[in-house]
Amino acid sequence: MTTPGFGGSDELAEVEAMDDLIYHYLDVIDRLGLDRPHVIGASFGGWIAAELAVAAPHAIGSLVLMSAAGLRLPAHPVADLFLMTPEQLARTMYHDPAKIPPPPSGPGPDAALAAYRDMTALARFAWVPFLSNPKLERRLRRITAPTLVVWASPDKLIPVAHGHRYAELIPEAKFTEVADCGHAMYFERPAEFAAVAAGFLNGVSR
Amino acid sequence: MKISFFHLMPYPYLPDDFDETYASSSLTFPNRLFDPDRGRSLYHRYLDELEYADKLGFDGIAVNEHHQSAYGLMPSPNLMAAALARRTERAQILVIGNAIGIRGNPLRVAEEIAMLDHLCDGRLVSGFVRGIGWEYFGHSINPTRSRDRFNEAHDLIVKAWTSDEMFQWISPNYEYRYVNIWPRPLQTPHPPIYIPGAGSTETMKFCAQHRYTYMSVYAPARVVGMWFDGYRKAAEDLGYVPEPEKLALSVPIYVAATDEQAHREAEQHIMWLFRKGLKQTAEMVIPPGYMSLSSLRGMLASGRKAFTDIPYEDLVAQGYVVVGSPDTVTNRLGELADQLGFGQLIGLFAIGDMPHERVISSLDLFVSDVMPAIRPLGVSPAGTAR
Repeated sequence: MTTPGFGGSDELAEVEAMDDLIYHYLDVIDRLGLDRPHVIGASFGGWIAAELAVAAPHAIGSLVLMSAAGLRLPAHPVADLFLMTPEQLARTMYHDPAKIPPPPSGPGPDAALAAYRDMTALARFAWVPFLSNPKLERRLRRITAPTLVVWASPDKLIPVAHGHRYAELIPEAKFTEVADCGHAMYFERPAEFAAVAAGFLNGVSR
Repeated sequence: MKISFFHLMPYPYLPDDFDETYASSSLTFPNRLFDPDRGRSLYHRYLDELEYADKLGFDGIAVNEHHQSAYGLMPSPNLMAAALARRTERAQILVIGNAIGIRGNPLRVAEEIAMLDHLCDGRLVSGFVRGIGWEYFGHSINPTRSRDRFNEAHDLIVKAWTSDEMFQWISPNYEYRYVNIWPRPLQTPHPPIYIPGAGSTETMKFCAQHRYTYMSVYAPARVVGMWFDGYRKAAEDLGYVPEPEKLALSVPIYVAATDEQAHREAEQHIMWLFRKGLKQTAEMVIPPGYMSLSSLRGMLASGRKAFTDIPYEDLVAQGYVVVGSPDTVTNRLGELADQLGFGQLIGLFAIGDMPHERVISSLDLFVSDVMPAIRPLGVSPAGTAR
């Protein structure tokens, strides 16, 4: 499943801001008949996951936030991915340059257009306020789901201070780091990420 | 042919290590490199040049809006127009244009243009632009809303100028409960509207729909031809045949006594414009959502090079610039007018870091030896062009 406007999903005119996206995902949970699902979100998805758990605490079984966007910490700014060249963006997302996947090849402009479409979908929600909801911080206390905050180290896109802040404000949240790993955690170190997440989920009683 | 003089007001004093050190002369180019004393002199010099063009008999003198950039020092084109309004007499003042896509309060633009129209006794032309990509970074406006903001702001401004009744305005990006501007503009129904376009099919259709003047920006003649054809096609689809004056070619021009002298004198300044002034990254110019996917596909397919990668000879040969003796420039502009079918020429005579004396000598030669020959071109059979 992808968020409206990203990847192969259609853009939905009525989903133009984070609050629209939250209602959209709550509808998806209802429509699929999911009972208090585990919610795992990385980066922009982590922001969505945190907002969902704030908006409907009792609808969420557990929460894993991986290098999540969403907080506005002026002393720890998120790097401006919109201004980066594709090469700069790749070097920001990965710790080990050897892990950077080759740029998509193929005839014609399709790969460039697909990348532009994804960035456009992100910008709709995240241009200003930049990758954040200024009200999210004070609302995190509403979260009741068992929560794990996982951060890549070093994360060159979203500084680890954001992870510490999430862990501090979400009641009884646990915090862990995946070492020698960039922001694109589940692409750069999928095994480590899976082990951390599985360990947490196995310990969550339902 | 209606002929105007367009000033960009660049800041020419870039550091020696500019090429190696800076990704662009805009957005992030550090403003500690702006020297206030030189800035003050530049504003007075540039306004003098615009006033001189009025005295020389140009039909229009033009200013535009750019932010956070050494490429152009006019964050507020309306201030420049105000400075010109009472010191010029004949030329229309072309504000091309206000970047209504990035303005927080478009009603303010309606008010300022109405004021300017009175200050210059009805000589005002009101251009509207969306604002260049990097300005959406600089002014924190979401580029995915650019097109909607532009369209809504345009509709609001025109209605504010023309409505006989106070009205309320509610659209996705703007809400005003009392629209009732004082003053109204002098011209009826409102100042003429020009729209610069750079290949967006949406912009061509928009201009044709409202019968506005469509103006080119830096591009090879072949590509400008595609844009002008796009406008004419959009007009035809609406059952309207645009007069030539609805199409404006905007192009840097330099004239000297001989071709050899003209190229020798102009090349470095033209290269300043394209290599330094227009040095920008793709990410700055086309932020996400700023272009539709179909317009972006068209742009990628056109195979145009970055401005900084085009050799001088190609800039000349492809029609990005017009340089030469009076005869050469006259002939070249004639060829372009035949090929492209425009009835307005908006010349950039102050090119890049060109010193004042060169600008003036080129202007004088253009007015004495080129202007009379190209005046009769680009006039519609009905003779409606000015």
